[in-house]
Formats: sequence, C-alpha cells, structure tokens
Amino acid sequence: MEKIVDNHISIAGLKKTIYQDGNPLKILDGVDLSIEKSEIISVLGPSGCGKSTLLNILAGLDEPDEGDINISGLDFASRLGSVGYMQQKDLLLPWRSVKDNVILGLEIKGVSKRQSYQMVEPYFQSFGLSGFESNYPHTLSGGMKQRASFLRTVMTEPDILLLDEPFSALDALNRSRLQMWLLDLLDGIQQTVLLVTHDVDEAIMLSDRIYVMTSRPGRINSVEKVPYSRPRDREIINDSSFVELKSKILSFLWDQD
Amino acid sequence: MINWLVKWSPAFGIVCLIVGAWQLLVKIQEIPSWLLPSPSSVATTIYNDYGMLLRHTVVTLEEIILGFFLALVVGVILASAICLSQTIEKALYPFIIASQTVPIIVIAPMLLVWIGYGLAPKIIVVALISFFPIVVNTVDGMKSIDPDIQKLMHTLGGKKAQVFSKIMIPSSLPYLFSGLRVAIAISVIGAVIGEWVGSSEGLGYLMIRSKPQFQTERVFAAIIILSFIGVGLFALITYLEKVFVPWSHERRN
Repeated sequence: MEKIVDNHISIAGLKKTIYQDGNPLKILDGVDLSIEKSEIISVLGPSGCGKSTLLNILAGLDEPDEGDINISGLDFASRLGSVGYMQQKDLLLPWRSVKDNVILGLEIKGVSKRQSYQMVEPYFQSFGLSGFESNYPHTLSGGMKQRASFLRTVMTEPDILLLDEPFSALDALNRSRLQMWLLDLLDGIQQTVLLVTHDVDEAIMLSDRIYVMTSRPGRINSVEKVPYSRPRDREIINDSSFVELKSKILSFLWDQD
Repeated sequence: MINWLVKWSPAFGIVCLIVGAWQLLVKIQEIPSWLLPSPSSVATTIYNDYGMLLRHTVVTLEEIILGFFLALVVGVILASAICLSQTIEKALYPFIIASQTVPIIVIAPMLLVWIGYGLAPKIIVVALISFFPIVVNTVDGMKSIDPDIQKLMHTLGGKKAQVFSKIMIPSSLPYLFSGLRVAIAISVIGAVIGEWVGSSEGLGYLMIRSKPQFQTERVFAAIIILSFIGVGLFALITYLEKVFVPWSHERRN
C-alpha cells in the first residue's frame, strides 16, 4: 500500500455556517490544520465543536463556506473516493459476508471480484479476521466488526484516513486492545491519519500531535506535540510526561465551559 | 416431518375443533346440506369429484401465479422508479394509491368488456389487487437505508447507480418479501373475483355455478382448496425468503 504522491495535507481558515430553522449557526470559525505524510493527528474537542462537520468537509461530503483544503493536490470533486472515512458505526452491510464487505470500495472502483479477493486475502491475518471471511457481520464481535470496517477503508488506499471515534462503541478492554493493534498496524502501512476523539488518553496514546478545538464555533485552541516516538508501549500511560500532557489538554477542554 | 407436525399442532388442533363442532351442529340440528353441508359431505365431494376439482384448481392457480408475477415485475419497476426520481414519485404515487380505492369489483367487468373473456382479464385483476403491497413495501425498503451508509458509499466513490444496485436493492429485499406475502394472500381473492365476473372455468366459476344449483358442498370444497392454495403459496414465499435473504432471517431469530 505504498503511495508515491506526497501526502502533505493542509487546511487553512476553514469556515462553515449552517442554517437551522432559518437561523445561522456558526459551526467552524477558521480552522487551520497541517499534517505531514504518515503522521497521526488527533482532533480533540467538546461535543458539538464541529468535529463531524470538519470530517464531512475533509471527506468531500460537504463544502466549506471559506478556506482552503489541500490534500495531495486534490480538488473538491476528486476528494470523494480518495479520502478514507471511517465513521463511528461499523456500517458493514448485513447481506454481505466479511470478505464481500471488505472489497466494497474496490468493487466500486471497478476492480474485478476475483482480483479484489486476491488483494484483500493477505490482510485477513493481521486484521484478526482469518477464518471469518465467509461469516455474515451479525455473527462477529464488536471488535471484529470494527476491524473489518477498518480493512474496508484501508483497501481503497486513501491519501488520508479519517477516523471518527472508531472505538467509542467498544468496552474499555476491547478499546485499549484495538488501540494498540491499530498503532502497530499504522506503523506497518505508513498511513496518514486524522483521528477524531473525545478520549484524551486515546489521543495521546495513538497520535504524534493533538489539535484541541474550542466549543462552537469551532476553532483550534492549541496544538500539542506528543513526546513519544512510534512504535510505543502501552506503559507510557504511567509516564509523568503522559500525565502532564493529559492534564494540560484537560485544562484546555475544561476552560471551554 | 414429526417436528413440523409438532410445530403446527396448535393450528391442527383448531381445525379439528372447528370441523368437529361443525359436524356435530349439522348432525344435531339436521341442517339440510344445501344450506350448510357437513364437513364429511364436503370431504366426500372432494374425494368423488377429484378430477373435476383438480381441473378448476389448475386454472385458478395459473391465474394466481401469472397475475402475481405480473404484479411483482410491475411493482418492483414502479418502486425503483419512485425511489430513483422524486418527480416520478410525485407524479405516480398518488395514482398508485388512488388505484386501490376503486373497487376491483367495478373494474373487473370493465376489463371483460375491454379485453375479453379469456385468461388475460383474470391475470390483470390479480395483478391490480396485489401490486399495491409490493410497491409500498419495496419503496419503504429502498428508502429505509441508513444515511451513514449513503455517506459511506459516497466516500468510497460510489455513484448513484452503484448506491441503487449495491445498497438500495439488497436492503429492500426483506421488505419486498413482506409485501409478497400480503400480495399472494390477496391474489387468491383477485383470481376468484376475476372468475366471478365472467368465466367458464376455475374455482371461482365453480362456486358461482354451484350455488344456484344448491350444490353447496362444491362451494365449500372450492373454499377449502382456495385456502390450501393461499397457505401453500404463503409458505412457499417464506421459504424463498429464507433462501434468497438469509441474513434477514438469521438476524430476526
């Protein structure tokens, strides 16, 4: 899954206002972001800070009122289908087996079924899905569904992967297992990732830098660098620098209210 | 087989109860058989007139199945058109609903005048009466798709035609089958009405002809055969749903 194109992503002065019952509601008020190739970025913010709107715009589902988005030189129209967007729910299609769910993106891009199967085959092992290729989604555990959904998103080789609270539906143990698994996996594939979460531990554990947003209208409040290189160990959660960074970010978030 | 009998034993129990009470009532009250034949005399009629009843059954079954397939094809095409275009929805949906408010008993004789006396008007009556639940259910199914799945398809680069074929059609199948179950039950009624209005064969014709001749046993024989057709076709559709839409059944159980 190597990409030759430069994955540098930059977003500048993003503004978006929506209208609810005719009243303007300012959602995003000048959001700036920049992401290096293979970097993992987290966006943290209180609920209603416009994280979903930001993701929709980045994915190409919505257009900003103002501002520039540059994703490897793609314009708005070609962003759809080039940006991988994994939503909160796994959204596996109940009438398709795991294997057929995973190839959905390839199928849409016109890859033949036979070739798609060959392309996904090597990944079932590392995604913990081997032996379940022919199962229907309702027979899988929550973690497996999420991994299948993740594999479906990665198979389209997106320039950037947008993850919208991908672990929020899981229990604490499964969540931390999946976080560590994801960290290992991302190191292997050198994928650029933007992760939206409201879990501060998760943000520090997984990302290289963290953008903290203000509550509505959403702006970037601060950018924090995580002082750990990857691959990293679960144990960092007990480090004094981890705790320090966590309390700093939490104080930013608490100041919102 | 044993399991099947055990599973449906409540239904058999009710049938036995009704048949027994009916037989007793006729016997004790000495009701003449032209007014209300006893179950045993109906059974005897079915046994004795086996060949004649079978001939009429085949005709009615043919009308039901052909009319039902016409309804299925037209229903699915209409539902797809309604879901793909809002203009078509606004243009057609009111008329589809209105078509159900016109009593079929009024349309049936007109069809006879327009098309003639053969198989065609019966098939059309069956289709007219049974396409409605198919359209309504399929439209509901196609519109029930999760907006997040719509978003997913867009971010994967899916076009409208792909959303339709890969998402809307499969997700409408369980709904389509619910519609088909309703449709098959009422298509039996459609066939009988079609025959009542004008025909020379079929179970509906047999009923219409036997009543004035006071051969009430035959009327009841026809009713019983029609119920078996209805229940049998309903079961067949439920079985087909299990084969073609296995995920829906697995999730429900």
